[in-house]
Amino acid sequence: MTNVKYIYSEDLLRYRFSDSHPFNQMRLKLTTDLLMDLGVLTTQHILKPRVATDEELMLVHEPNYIEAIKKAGQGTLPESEYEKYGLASEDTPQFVNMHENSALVVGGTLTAVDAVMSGEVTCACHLGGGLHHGFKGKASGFCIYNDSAVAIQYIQSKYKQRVLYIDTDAHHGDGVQWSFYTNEDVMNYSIHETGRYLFPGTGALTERGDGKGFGTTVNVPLDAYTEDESYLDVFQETVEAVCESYKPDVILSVNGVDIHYLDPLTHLSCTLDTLYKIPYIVKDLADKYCDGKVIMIGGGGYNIWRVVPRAWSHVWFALNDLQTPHSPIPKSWIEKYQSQAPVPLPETWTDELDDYMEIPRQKEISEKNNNTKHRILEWFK
Amino acid sequence: MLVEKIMTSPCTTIRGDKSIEDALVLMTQKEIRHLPIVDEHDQLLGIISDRDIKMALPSILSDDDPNQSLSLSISKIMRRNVIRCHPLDFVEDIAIDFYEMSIGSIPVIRDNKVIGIVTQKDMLNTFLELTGVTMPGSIIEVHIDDKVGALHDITGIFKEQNIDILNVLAYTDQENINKRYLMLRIKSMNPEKIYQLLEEKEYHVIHPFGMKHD
Ligand SMILES: [Zn+2]
Repeated sequence: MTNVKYIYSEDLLRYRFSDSHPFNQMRLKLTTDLLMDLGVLTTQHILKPRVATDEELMLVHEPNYIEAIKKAGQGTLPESEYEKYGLASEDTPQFVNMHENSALVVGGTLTAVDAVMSGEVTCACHLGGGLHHGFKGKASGFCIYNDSAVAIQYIQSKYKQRVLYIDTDAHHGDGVQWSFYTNEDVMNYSIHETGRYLFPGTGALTERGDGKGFGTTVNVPLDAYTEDESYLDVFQETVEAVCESYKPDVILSVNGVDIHYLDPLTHLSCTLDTLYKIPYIVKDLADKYCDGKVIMIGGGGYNIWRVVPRAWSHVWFALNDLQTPHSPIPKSWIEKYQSQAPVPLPETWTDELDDYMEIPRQKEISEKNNNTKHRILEWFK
Repeated sequence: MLVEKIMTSPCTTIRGDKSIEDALVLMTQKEIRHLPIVDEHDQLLGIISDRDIKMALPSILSDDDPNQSLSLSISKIMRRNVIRCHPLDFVEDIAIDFYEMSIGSIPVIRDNKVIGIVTQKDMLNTFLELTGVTMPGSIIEVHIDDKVGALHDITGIFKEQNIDILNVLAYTDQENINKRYLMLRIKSMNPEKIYQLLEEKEYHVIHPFGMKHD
């Protein structure tokens, strides 16, 4: 009997745009094998992801979009239609069986949701999920179907529960935000690098929801080069204030690990320390406010060798109340993958920091983030 | 851009013989803050805003009965001599009216009838849309020499990489009039390759806080 489930199957690796595309689910296999080699994950923890049905996808997505993705995956969608559905871009190009493979990602997140909401387990994780940029009728930012948004709507429709969505990916969770912008029954919290330069460009402090949903969207934009101390300070205080005020029944969290300084796409400059702490902070909130009920899913993370496996291991550690191992990274894991990796695989659980750089304007950046924090805390007083 | 592109049309109006209370109820119901006042032929008589009404009502500190004020005719407190515009006016031109006259809205008149309204909010939304912020994208800022063909050279790199440009803004460098800043909003989550190609061609790409990301 275990009280935590891990959703995984190698079929999830087929969500792949091309051999050279930065979104590479090989990171799921790397993380799963690392956890298995450590002996903290066994086959009895694992649930296979199911495929989301069309009706489930339609909780968020438009029927004609789903049809277009089906056709595109079979090569029968006219190329003139690609642009309309976001498939003409280098970010989300057409690939074979894209509907089936994307519906499996959504199904994985729903498998995790059902495991928790049915009461079978207290918490579950599906690191293959977290595709938070998908729009209801358009692919965007490496995302086809938005499993996070579908899961939120699914929890609302099927279980009638209040969800707190926590998104710590470096990018703003725009697809989820626009799905629930006027909805008062979802609290949508996203902490991310400001859109000043970074994709998708949204997620400003002033985006707070609209109509009845005003106040149920909270955006925490952080400056480039924020670093650990300021990140954790702002995150901890704001997320706790939101949780305390909203009193959710369950938490769904997106654990993108692209805030790391070695991530090629972003500039928040955090280290593994912060990435290790985030899932514990979220787990503690779930314990304190939701009887422990939490579903953790994946998200971005584009340094798949040196960052993602170590960071995502801690999602599993946090859910199981385990700490960072004292022993080094298992030799068996390094031996298995070193020949495929273009960089030396890490041998310990801490950052090497040899290519970490000093931030010249750190004091000002922290000050600005601190102002952002206080403005948000004001709303919840 | 023309006013007819951004105006709200048709718009809510009220007749001049109605009371202040009627106007207040209508504005609350429709969630609007500006209300043109018209005669039976839809000709513009005046305009009021929610602020005008608040100022017309007795202060909570006074002994006057607010109900009495509420029953007064709206034409008593409306602003006359309203600045108006035509659907074919340029948005840039009415922007100057908004700025210089410090007003919150401008009614749109055609054939002597009120057919729509443009508010400050519409103006701001239009500007925001011009910056491309409504479409997901990354922003790349390049500091370039103000010379013929610079834009062509740069956009050529995006074409080669098959990356869609959503928006382009150019503004002069105040410190060096021979230079310009070019702000491109592009449909790509992964602009690293573009940064690299621009730098190879010795374009000066602005990084966050002037730092280089490796
Ligand atoms: Zn991301």
